[in-house]
Amino acid sequence: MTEIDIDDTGWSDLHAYHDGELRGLARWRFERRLRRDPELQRELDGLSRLGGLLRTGAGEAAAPDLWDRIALRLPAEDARRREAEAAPSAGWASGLRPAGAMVAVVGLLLVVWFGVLDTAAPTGGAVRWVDSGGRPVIVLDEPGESDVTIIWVLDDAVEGTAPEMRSGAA
Amino acid sequence: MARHSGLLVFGVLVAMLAGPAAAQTTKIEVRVLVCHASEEAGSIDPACRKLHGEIGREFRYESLKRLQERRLSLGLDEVGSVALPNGKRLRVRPLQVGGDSALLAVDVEGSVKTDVRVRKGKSVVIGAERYKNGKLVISLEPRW
Repeated sequence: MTEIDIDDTGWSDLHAYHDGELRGLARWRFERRLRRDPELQRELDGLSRLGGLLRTGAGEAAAPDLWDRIALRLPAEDARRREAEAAPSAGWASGLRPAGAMVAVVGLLLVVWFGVLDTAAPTGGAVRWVDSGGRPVIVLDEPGESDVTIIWVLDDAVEGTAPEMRSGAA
Repeated sequence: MARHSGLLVFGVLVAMLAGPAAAQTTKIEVRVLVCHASEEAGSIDPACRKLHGEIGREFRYESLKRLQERRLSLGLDEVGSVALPNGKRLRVRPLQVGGDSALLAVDVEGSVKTDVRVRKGKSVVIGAERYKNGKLVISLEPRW
């Protein structure tokens, strides 16, 4: 096993975080450090794998899913930042309404993304960020009008065509 | 001076403890409905009728059947997980809840990850994985 340069506090925080015991400011600081430190991420990953091996060895059927606890926790600050960045664009969109942006009212905003969209939705719509792992995805996002926001990952789309979509939709 | 410092430290501690405590009191219930949209002829499951009304005009399928339904009660930053019929997991985490909308982080394992702001009374539908000659369609309805 390769020895890495993590101080004592880092180790104790790593294990506390791994065990779900790190709270509040300490957790926030550790997650910030974790995002910036690939070695720390690898260590955490290693701990998780080790835990998985131990669980497998012990034959535990209902082992706690560590990933459940951390998977969506890691990008949380990024999500909040994107949300904060999206606020001005929402104001921009609302400013357009009096100018006759009825497109947003009558029609659906149809966006086909190939790959990762890592910015706030430009309309200030519901979808702030989406990552489909490189697969084309359609977002039907009608701010304020529809009861639903649809995120549809396309399976058979070739160069923008989507056989699973009804012809009138696009 | 020392007394003032003590008060300041006490105030900071109270603020640090009160923050998470206040956050933990915010609960959101997320109804998760998983349906199978299939290209094979069939009917629309009554349990999926509302979902059909939301996606039926946009997407082509011949039948829609409910596979599972769950209700997750989550605090802020708490991750709720649902095992999907295809063996993958759906994870939902409320990032912000307040006023007339909630910000959710959603991860359909191996398919799509998104941060989506849902207004009160509205829902999010995700057409995710291919499954048995069709597609898994997941509806998320947060309530708070």
